[in-house]
Amino acid sequence: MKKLILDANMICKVFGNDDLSVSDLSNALLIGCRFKVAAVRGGQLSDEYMRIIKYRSVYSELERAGRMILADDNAVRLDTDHVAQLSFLRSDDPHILALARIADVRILCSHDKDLHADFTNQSIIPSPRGRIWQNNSHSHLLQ
Amino acid sequence: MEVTLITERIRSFDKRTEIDIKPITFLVGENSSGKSTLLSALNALGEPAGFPFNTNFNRAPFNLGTFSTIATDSGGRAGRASSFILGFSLISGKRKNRVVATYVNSDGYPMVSSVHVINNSGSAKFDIVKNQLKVTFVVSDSQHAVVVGMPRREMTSSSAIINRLLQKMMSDSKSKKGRRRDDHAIGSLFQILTNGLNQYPRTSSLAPIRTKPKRTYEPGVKPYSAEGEHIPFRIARTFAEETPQEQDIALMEALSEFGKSAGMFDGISPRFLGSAKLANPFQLMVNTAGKKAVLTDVGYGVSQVLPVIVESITNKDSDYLLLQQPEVHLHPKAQAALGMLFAKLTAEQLIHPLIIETHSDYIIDRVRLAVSQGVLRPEQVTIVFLEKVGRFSQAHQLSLDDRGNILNTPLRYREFFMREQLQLLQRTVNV
Repeated sequence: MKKLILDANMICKVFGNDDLSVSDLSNALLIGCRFKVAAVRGGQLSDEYMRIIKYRSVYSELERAGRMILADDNAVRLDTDHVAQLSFLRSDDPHILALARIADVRILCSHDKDLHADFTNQSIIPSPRGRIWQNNSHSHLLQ
Repeated sequence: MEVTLITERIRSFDKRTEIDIKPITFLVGENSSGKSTLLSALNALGEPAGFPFNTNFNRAPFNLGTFSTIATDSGGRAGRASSFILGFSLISGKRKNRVVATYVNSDGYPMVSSVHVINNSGSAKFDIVKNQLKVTFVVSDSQHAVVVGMPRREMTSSSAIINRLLQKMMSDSKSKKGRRRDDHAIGSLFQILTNGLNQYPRTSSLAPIRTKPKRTYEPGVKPYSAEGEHIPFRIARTFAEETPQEQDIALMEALSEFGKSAGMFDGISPRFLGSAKLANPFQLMVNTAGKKAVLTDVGYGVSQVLPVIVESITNKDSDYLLLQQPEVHLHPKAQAALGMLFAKLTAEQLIHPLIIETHSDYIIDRVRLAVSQGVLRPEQVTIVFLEKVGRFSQAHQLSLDDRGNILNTPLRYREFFMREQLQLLQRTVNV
């Protein structure tokens, strides 16, 4: 099972299930088609997910299907504070970086360029190097 | 005690299927995916003095039928399997025991043709051909064999077979030299067989449709029934105790806790229609918000859930309790309460391991929640997902982590549920 982090700014696109450019991830997450993947949530990202009210029922269903995994919330929040203090941080998403570190996730689905830079920075997320999935052309990462 | 169920070529399970039984084991999957088949197999294993030589494949409440309804039908040229396998492995502390039996068709009924026993004492293999029993066994790396003539009709139990074997070996030993070596072999075989055939997972089952409630119950003792006819009598006995035992108190507390969490009742108690208590007829009273009503005058869910709770706590005759759809007639709130009750009772070791065939997400969700709250350890729970692939079934054994996440799910797992959710969501978005 490949673990990944789905940035809140991608939720509507992926769960809306009508954007063909992300269909590989939509189908894999929503109906378990082709790729065995699980989206990891925890810390502030969970809060962001919960603010997108219309997909709350989808999160529960994904968890029942084992395709959404809850990370250790306290550990993520603690590490978020730690990551936020790094002087070379470019993005304003330390919670996502902390989630990747705590839950050992190395695939990020996001359109945020600054976050891409941080996610692939091995001083923040150590080896193996973080990889970015943005659309179906990156689906080899889901194998 | 850790038990693994072993089946092969039984109904839709064409391949070797091994299921590790945990303190809480859920069997989930679509209709006709094999949930009841696995419960039936466990039920057949768990009858005293039955498996492997006199296995009752139709032990109530299950009915696997005859050889032709048990052995896998692969269709086409392959047709029906000529044999099938049922067995278990059991680990209890340092003791290990594995018994696997093969059954063939005998006038339409399954008849054991071979049994393989492996345990700490050694290994033995029975082969039964017509009225002859051949036993090959290995003790301290040396192989022995003994052949006994024994009519099939006398092979009614493990103890009958063990006795016959030992008689034969002892008479052989007396008639020849080298008796000391034979005595050692006889003793070793006795160990293998008694350890192997007398240690098995004893099971009891509750049927999905439980008995109807009655306004008044006549005094007496009812024997165990899979429909739970004996349950009112067990409750009456529990409450009639002058000094309740630990188990009685646990039952009273569990009933009260479940009833309140489910919003169904505050307590259950018998009303004896006479001063001599158990010698008189009695009614089961359901206490709700300070008022008592007879069991027949409240919602049907109460009478249907009582056997599940009472049997879980008070069953003394089994190692495992097999439950078919304990959620029947229960509102989701009550299903959730039942899930939490199972989790707490398991954590407190007040109940035997439960093997639960269910369609209830609410029960499973609560058990997952209990794991995430530290009430249960993740290794105490497993979800066995049964998937129908063509005419065959596959079992996927899923585990939990300490946050209640479900791990190792196969592709397409719960596809139907997600599609339903998305359709509803799409409807909302369009509006």
